[in-house]
Amino acid sequence: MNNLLFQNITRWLLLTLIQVFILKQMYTESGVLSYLQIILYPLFIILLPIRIPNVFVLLIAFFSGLVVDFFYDSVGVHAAACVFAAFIRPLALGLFEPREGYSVNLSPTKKQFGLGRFMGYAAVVITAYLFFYFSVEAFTFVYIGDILLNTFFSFLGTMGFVLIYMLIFDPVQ
Amino acid sequence: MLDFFGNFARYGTFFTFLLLEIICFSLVVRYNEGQKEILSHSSKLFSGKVMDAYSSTRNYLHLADIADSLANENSILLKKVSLEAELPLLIFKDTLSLEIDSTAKATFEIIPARVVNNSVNKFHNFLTLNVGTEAGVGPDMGVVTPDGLVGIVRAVSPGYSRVMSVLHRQNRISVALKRNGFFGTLVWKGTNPLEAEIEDIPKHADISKGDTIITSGYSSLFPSGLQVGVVKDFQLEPGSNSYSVQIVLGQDLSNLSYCYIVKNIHLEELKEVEESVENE
Repeated sequence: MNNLLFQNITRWLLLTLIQVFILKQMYTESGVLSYLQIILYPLFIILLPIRIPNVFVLLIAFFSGLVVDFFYDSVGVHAAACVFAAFIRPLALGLFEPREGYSVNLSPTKKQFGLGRFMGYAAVVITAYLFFYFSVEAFTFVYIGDILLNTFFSFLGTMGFVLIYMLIFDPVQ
Repeated sequence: MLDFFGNFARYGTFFTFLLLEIICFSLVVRYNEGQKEILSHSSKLFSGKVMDAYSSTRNYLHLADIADSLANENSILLKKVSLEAELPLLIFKDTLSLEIDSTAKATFEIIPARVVNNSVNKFHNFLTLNVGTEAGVGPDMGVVTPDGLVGIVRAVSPGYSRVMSVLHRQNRISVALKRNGFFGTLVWKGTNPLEAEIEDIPKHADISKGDTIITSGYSSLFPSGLQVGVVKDFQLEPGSNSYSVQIVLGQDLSNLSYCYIVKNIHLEELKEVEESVENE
């Protein structure tokens, strides 16, 4: 139990640091890739153990979103998207539920799910995150074209990074 | 009571979701409206300090580049001084004050600053600089580099200031063609951080690709004659009386480390005069 908690906290710290100090800077300095933004840290929400009550997942998402917001200078935007992603998470888990159901002690990882099913599940949550994020950032649907383009390219980029992360760390729980 | 818990288990997630989203949205809205009050996010708080440390480390790693660019800047300035610039160009003096034209009195003062936090690819971009009221910075001051415009100071705290980048959809800055002085408004449409557009250049204006764009000086924020960018392309929309012009910005904001804040010494006086007319 403690081990699981420790693992999740480390993961949160690692992903937030990667997000804020590497991915954000990569993005700011490569001015040309304006439609591609890599947002990896929601992977932490994706990988939270299944048995954590949804209400807590939402609260955790809210706070981890706020932390990233402080560094992105966009108070509320990442938090809103992250809460939305956490809200979608149980629905996404439902979509990719195996026939025999989940065992509650699992974390939804590649090891437990298989690569295909894990990526499908992650894709739903990431899409929800990105779409909500770019919508809140624009704060109007007038720019729906830009929002969709942003979502699409960022989705491809982010999923690439999710895959790399899962292949490198391959967490069991 | 049991009923309450039962209902909470059933609908709690949704209501928590709703509640958190309401909090988030109110944060976003507050942030968009009263930047003065919310300056805290990158300025005073912990993250400001962290980003500060981070940017100094990064600057240290980029020292060679920065030294190069400073050397370049110096050589350009020396040239300008020695040529006794005919055009109203910026002259950086030892005292860090600056003259527009050699005849005019110094109306602008410059304050060097380091970029602490920056963004270029959002719809509304802001920067944070490491100087604030203690260094004499106040709201509504222009921010420039020798190559182009950076933005306008929106809010200040004692040690930091927050700048609305040129790359902000609500930014409108008066600019002119260097060759013949026709002026228009610089706007940014939110896609490419290296390019911007100019609106309202009348259709009888003589314009061609490669023309240099400078600030017009029709606002109190920027002195006239500052480099802005170069015309990349222009079209005359059918039925329109003005060109829409695409320009390449002179300063690439995505790798900005140092910049200068331009302080109009007569800003107060100017505002007073303008307001006194408006009030009548």
